[in-house]
Amino acid sequence: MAEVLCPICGRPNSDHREFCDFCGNPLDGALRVEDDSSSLGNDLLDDRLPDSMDDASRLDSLVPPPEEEIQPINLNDRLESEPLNGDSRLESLLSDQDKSVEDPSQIDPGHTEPLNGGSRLNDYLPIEKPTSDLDPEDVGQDDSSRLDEYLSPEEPEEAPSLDLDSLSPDQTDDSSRLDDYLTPDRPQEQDERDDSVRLDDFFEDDPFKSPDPFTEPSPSTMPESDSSADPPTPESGPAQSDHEPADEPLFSRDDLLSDSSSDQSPEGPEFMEPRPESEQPDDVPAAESIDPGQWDFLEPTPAPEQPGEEQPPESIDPGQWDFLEPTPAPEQAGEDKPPESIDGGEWDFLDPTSTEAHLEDEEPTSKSADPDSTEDWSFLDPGPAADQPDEEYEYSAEGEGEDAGWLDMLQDPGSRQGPEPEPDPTAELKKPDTDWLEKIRRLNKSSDLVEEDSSFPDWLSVTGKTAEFKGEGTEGPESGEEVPDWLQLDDDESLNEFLRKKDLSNEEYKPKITTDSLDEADVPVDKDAPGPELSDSQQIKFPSWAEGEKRKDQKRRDVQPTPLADEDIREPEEPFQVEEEFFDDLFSEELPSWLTEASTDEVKQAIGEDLTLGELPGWVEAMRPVVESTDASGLDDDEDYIENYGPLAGIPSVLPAEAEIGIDLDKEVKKPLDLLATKNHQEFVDLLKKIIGDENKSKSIRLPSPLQPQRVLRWLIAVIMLVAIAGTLIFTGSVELESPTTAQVQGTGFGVLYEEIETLYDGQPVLIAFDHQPGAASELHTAAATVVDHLMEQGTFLTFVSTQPTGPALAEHFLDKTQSHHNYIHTQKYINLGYLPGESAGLLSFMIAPQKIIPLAFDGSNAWDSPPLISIDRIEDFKMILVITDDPNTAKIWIEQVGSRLTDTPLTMVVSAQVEPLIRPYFRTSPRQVSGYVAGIIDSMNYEKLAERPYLADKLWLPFNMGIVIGVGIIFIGGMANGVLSLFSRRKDKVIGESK
Amino acid sequence: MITANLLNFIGLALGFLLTILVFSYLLGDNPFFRLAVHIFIGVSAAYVALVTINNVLIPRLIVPLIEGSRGERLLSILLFIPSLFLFFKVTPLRRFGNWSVAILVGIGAAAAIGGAISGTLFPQILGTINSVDPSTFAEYGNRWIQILNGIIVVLGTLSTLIFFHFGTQDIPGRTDKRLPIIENISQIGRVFVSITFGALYAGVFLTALSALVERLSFVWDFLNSIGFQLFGSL
Repeated sequence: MAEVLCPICGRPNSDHREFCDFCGNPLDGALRVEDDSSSLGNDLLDDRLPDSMDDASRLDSLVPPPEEEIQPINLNDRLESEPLNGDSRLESLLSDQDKSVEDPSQIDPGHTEPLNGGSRLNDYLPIEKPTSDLDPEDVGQDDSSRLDEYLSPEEPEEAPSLDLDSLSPDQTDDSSRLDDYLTPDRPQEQDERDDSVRLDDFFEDDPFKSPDPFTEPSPSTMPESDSSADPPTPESGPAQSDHEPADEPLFSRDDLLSDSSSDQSPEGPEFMEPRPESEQPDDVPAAESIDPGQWDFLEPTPAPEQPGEEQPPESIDPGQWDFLEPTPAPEQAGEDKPPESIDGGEWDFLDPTSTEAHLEDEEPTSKSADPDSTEDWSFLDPGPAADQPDEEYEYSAEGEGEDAGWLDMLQDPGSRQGPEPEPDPTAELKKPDTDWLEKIRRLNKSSDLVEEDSSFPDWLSVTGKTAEFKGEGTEGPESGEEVPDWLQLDDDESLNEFLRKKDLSNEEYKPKITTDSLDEADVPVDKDAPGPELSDSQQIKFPSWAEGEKRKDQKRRDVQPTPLADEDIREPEEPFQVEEEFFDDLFSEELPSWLTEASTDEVKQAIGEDLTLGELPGWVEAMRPVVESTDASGLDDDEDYIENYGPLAGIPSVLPAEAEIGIDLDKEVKKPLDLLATKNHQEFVDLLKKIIGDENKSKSIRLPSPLQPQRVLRWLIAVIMLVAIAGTLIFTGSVELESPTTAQVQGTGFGVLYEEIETLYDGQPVLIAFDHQPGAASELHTAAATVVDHLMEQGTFLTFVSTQPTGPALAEHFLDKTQSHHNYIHTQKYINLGYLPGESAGLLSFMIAPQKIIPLAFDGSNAWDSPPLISIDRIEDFKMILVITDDPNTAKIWIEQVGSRLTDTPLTMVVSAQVEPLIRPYFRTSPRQVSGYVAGIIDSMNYEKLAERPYLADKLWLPFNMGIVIGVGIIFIGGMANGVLSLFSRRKDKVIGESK
Repeated sequence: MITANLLNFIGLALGFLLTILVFSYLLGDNPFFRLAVHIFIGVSAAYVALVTINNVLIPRLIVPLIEGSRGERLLSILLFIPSLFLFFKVTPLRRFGNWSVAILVGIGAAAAIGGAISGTLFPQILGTINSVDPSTFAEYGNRWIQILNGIIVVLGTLSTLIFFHFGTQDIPGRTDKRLPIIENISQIGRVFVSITFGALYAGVFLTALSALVERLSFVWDFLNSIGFQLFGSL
């Protein structure tokens, strides 16, 4: 395939390009090289390829070495010592002169130590492929191999399909011509073609033709063999190129590209020999500092047409396509390279010192090559595959595995196939051509000599001619028609922009790709299959839409593993540059190329013309799973959110944007957790851990015994109590009472109450409050019986009232049961006012206005007109108030609400034994709030003794005391038993603890 | 015709039966015990309702509205309105009866607080002070004992109050503890509190024991009245 070398960056472009794919500069007047893809690919797969992967080769193709004419003898010498192919030739130009291997057998195939510019390039390609013995004609592969960096993988397919008859020799083997052109010291058969002359013709319009003081070798710097061109400075480049002689521009370009460090190689080719440092201009920057942008001075350089040099048709032999095979060059791989190789950037490969080493190392090999075998085209033949025995061919496989990934990506996939022993020359007849190639042809007026550069996929093709070619020559799925329209880049500016970005990004990912490509060493490669075998990195780099085609292609190859050259060559190739682009996008911080293109104004305008904003294409609209939403809230019956607006309208289960909007990022900011854990905190933590740990431990629970001890004990206690009390009731009678002494009565509650009652006489009103529950009736009735009996004995009028609903009935029951012998008649000598609601408030109101609070008696009679109440207007009119209660709160209410307001009326109480501790303080205070009280059976018994009227208390006294004794005894025994058991349990635990 | 003796016998028999049912609790919770409890609760509730209606509502609200004077009717109406709102407390519109309840609670609380201050707090403070005042000592008894008693009363009162004082000083890095003097005095108060609780427990025990003796006496009397008299006659 023909290529157009960019006059600015020197990189190859497809001949149909109007602008450089890498720098974007116009390719008008650029060097058009009839590139034989196969030869280019061979260089790529050549083991020496990593060393020769320098852009200088391309620049060499653009800049003819001035030494070619000035020092023809040296060039011839150089040609004699030049390695087999152009790659090695360039390496000989760039290698260190001191490093040379005379015998190829001395070359360590496994040697990968970078030494020269190529080795510095090996920084990107750390594993150096062993190079096979190459023919002198293979020198021409040098440049082409470097051009192969940018060859598309389609080339091996396209190349075999080329019609050799329709192509000129220049078209079929432009690389050889380039090598001839770029190599001043070509072998004799290459000199016959005099590519330099053709290139000179090519650069007729090139500004490089103008005399350039930098590119023109100065007499002082051009010794016989070590003269080197002055490294041009980018700044002075354009001006110098204007003055460059027409026959010396290539040298000037090489000088421009040469590294300052190349001065160390005095034996390099004259046109590549750097000027001695003393002779170098001060303004010449180091090679590392030269960036592509500094080559803008080359921009106006028109690419002259490639002279249509006649090439023998037989030169396009199947071996030409063996360049696609990563043919190893063991002798080069084993080159001893000086460890003191100049550390340089990507332009270090231009170091002639390193290339010279290659040249010297490869010299024996080149000498051994048969120059007549393929003439110019023999270099296309992969040395090890075509000319070398099988063992060298095996090296190619190894070298393939060691090939750099990025190189694999760049090179033709077919180049990684094993060398074809008998490639079908007719395959090249089907080499595709494109319209954009036609454009370039028209522009360059050499359309018949330029082949389309296959370094770009078909979809990047301007005219789609490649697709046509594929449709004709192959049956693969890759065709231009299948490429979406949006991927078609008809806009030259967009294409240039894309290529420029690609070119810039290439420099970034190369090392990574090289590293990735190392993994391919173990990947078996079908050497016989000329079809493309992409490396993992390349396979990964395939875009999704190309993956399917790639799989099909891979499957097809698996099914037909036989090395059918014709069929395999015709196999459609993946859009290799697409994956390169994709990979570029991965490693570049820039937007993907398609995005970049899409962001251009032209594309926007184009889109705007076709589509309105917010409108989806019809086919996209038809594919959408639209679900009708029932309401504006976006919720259907199933409560699945359905988008109602925007491009996702109608699609269910779409996450609503409100969820994210609702998040307050300011509030979500987590505050730093400042924990100041002290020792105490740690102790607490440990304690908590212990507690939690104990909770998780399983505890053995003893099964309860069928007969619970507590129940037995309860029964036992009950039986004891019942038997004792019942026995006392049955078998004992009343006791004889002895009147208590005065000392025993003084200061007691029952004594004071007795004295208070003794002061009453007949007809005085006494208010008795029955404020106890029925459950306490047995105790209180026993205690109150003797007191009420004493009141009745005194002849007082009794008025009964109660703050408890059950009080009036209890009062009636009490009178009926205990005081019936007094013949007290209701409303005659006593009155039952009944229930007084309101507790404190009711009692307080009763204290203030008793007649209004309780106007009627319990039986509904007019109580206040009865004798007991006829003289009562207020509560203080009662001569004594007696409260019978079992509730301390009720007692307190009476004391607080009534007793505190009483002046002359004594407040006395008959309370339960459980209330006595709370009533006693009111009695013990001074003045007394409770004038007297009787608490329980004990005080009642004492009261009976004091009154000398035995009554209920006397009857219950013995059983009651028996119960107390039994109760106290049980409590004492129980306490003692509990203490003894606890003591034993402690001893037992202590013994267990000591035993443990 | 049911005579009084028969009604008395039926009453005593029911009392005896219910007493036995309650005693059956010694065997654990059983339907007999629950039957007796339910009867007791039902009868008590019914009795309370009847007493409230017959002894409160009718004579103090209905009768004044019907037979009372104008002033009594007006007063009864004024009292009847909040009483009606109290019925809202058993309906979903219970919040309409809140103000009536508020009046009742407010008046009751005011009466209780006022009575507590005037009937318990001040008198008890005064009684504590007077307990150590010789001029208030009783004429009978030993004065030293009265002085000692007064000292015990003061000490018990103060120590018990201090025992229920749980205020502490917040000192960073130290466990909150009461002051040592407070802590020591509170230990004395703990003794008095313990004695008080012991006295209360003894009173409860005596009350229960009194009830037991009275019930056993009742059972004996009932059995003696219906059958054991035969043994007595024999």
